Amino acid sequence: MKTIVRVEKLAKAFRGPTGKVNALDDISFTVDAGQLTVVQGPSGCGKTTLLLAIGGLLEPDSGRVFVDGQEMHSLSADARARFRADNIGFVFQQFHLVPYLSVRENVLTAALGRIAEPEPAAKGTNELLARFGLQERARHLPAELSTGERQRTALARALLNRPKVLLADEPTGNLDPENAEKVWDCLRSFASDGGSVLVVTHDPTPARKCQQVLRLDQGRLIACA
Amino acid sequence: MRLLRLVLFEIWYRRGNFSLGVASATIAVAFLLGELAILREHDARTIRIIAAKEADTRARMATLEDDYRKITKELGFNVLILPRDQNLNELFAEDFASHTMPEEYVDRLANSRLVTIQHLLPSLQQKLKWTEVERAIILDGVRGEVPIVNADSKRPLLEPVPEGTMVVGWELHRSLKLKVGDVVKLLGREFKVGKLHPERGTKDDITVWISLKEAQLLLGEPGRINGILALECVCAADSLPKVRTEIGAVLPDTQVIEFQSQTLARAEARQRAATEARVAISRETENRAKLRQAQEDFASLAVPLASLVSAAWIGFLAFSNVRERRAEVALFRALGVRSWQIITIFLGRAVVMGLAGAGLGFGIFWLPSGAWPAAALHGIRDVRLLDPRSLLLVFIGTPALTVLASWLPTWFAAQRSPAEVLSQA
Repeated sequence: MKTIVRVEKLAKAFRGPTGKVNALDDISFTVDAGQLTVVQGPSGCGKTTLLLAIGGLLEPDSGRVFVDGQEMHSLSADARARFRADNIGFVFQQFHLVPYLSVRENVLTAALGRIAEPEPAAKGTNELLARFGLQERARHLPAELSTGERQRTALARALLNRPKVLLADEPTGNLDPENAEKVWDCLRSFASDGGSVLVVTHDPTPARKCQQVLRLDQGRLIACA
Repeated sequence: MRLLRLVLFEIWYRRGNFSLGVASATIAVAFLLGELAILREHDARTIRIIAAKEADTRARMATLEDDYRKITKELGFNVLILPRDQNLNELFAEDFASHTMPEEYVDRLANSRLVTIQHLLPSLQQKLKWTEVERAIILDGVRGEVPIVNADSKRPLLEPVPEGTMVVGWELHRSLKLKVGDVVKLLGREFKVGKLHPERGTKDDITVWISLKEAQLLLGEPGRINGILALECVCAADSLPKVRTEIGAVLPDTQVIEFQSQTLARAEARQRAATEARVAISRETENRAKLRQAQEDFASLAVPLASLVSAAWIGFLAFSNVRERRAEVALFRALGVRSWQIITIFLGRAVVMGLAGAGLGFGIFWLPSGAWPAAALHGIRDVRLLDPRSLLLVFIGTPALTVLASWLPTWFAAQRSPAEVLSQA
């Protein structure tokens, strides 16, 4: 299986009120294509920091991140953004939907970074809205949606550009079990289609159904199973 | 999803913030247009005032001319009769005529029954050196006034100088310390000082008057004169050609020129009136220019100040907008939206704000002006604002102002790390 994400000796520290805090400390692992990886650990252990560093949104102090063979942090900010648009999808716990755009337009925002032709993006959006059962809600604003619908909209947006990697930060944190299960189904489906998924979660249940579990504690990778 | 669509949707969503920015830009535009309108209205009014003053001056000059014509209709004026071949240039340069004519001409004129002439004064003048006292003088031989046949008996204007006497001009008698009764020699002939003239400030001050006969003898021009002064010719002010024709008919070998007469004075009066009018117009123009300069000075301070306050307010609103949209910007970065696209989103908003402000500011001044009371406008309604320069200034300048004001917050938005916001959320 092809390795899609490779993390080598990744380290990141922040200055806090009590001094230096190691958010990531010498982290190394890989995620293969078709693999769903769950990152677990207590709050503040560095899970989100790891996700942001892999996505190229946070500059590490040392170490390297490769996505599909490309070293993320050797790229300029704009080249990295372009690479991210083409290869990485993000899902957040807070959904981060644009409040003044409809469901359909929120999904289409993923195409902003690609400068893709409107036609394929529009076609892909329609397919995703149908897949996530959001056709009836396509013209609704996020404020008019249920939390489950919001997260499905965010998932549709993350998948529009057919990324190689999906990075999800507590994607089910605000959802009821039924909606949470739908999200997990979607993530597993994405992995089974050959994509790589890295999910940060507190939820122990899905860990049993994934291919890899990473346990972090105080910025250190304490287990990889 | 086009960026412009995103910009417009956001504007509608946060229309409160946007409206406040537009209002600020509108006020700045209205202020600028107001100042421009005031200045242009001032210019238009200046043109009207000056044109009215010029028209008034022309009318008054015409009236004045007519009045003068009526008033001076019965007044006389003076002419000088000279030999035909006398060069006038030489006459004015030398102060006397070098050519002579028969003294008999004056008698012929006196007997010709010309009703236009009141007084006739023949003379023989010459500029020469009074060798006995080493002075340059004008010697004037005069016969006194020659009575005109059938004319009303009037008191003669000039008494003759008795033979053997002389009348001495002010500068001469002052410098030579002459007194009435003194006997002096002139060109070898003795004369008794008969009269001393007071100061006149003319060539009379260096003139010596003696009898015409003695002058003719001294100058070797017996029976000759070189000028006849005809005083107070009675005719219309503008009838010099008529006088010339009449005299020419009697004395064909002469020429007639106007001489220090009231006609000249009238012309001078007219000139003075015209000059006064021109000065008044010039003064008015100057005052209007000063007033305009004062208004320009005020505008040059007030307009930038209003623009600055407006820009500061728009900048504050832009900063507030950026702050409110931190999560949105972070999301866009996570989706791979590049810095220039984020800058375009925020500056595009600023451009739309500027254009809306320009349109509204223009509209406030232009469209409803018909509904405003005329007194409130002070003529501004008539001023053309819809000219290309104003349009260009407003519709390019206002978006430029809003873009400049939004630049710093936008730059912060583009530079800020998305990780900070996304990890906080």
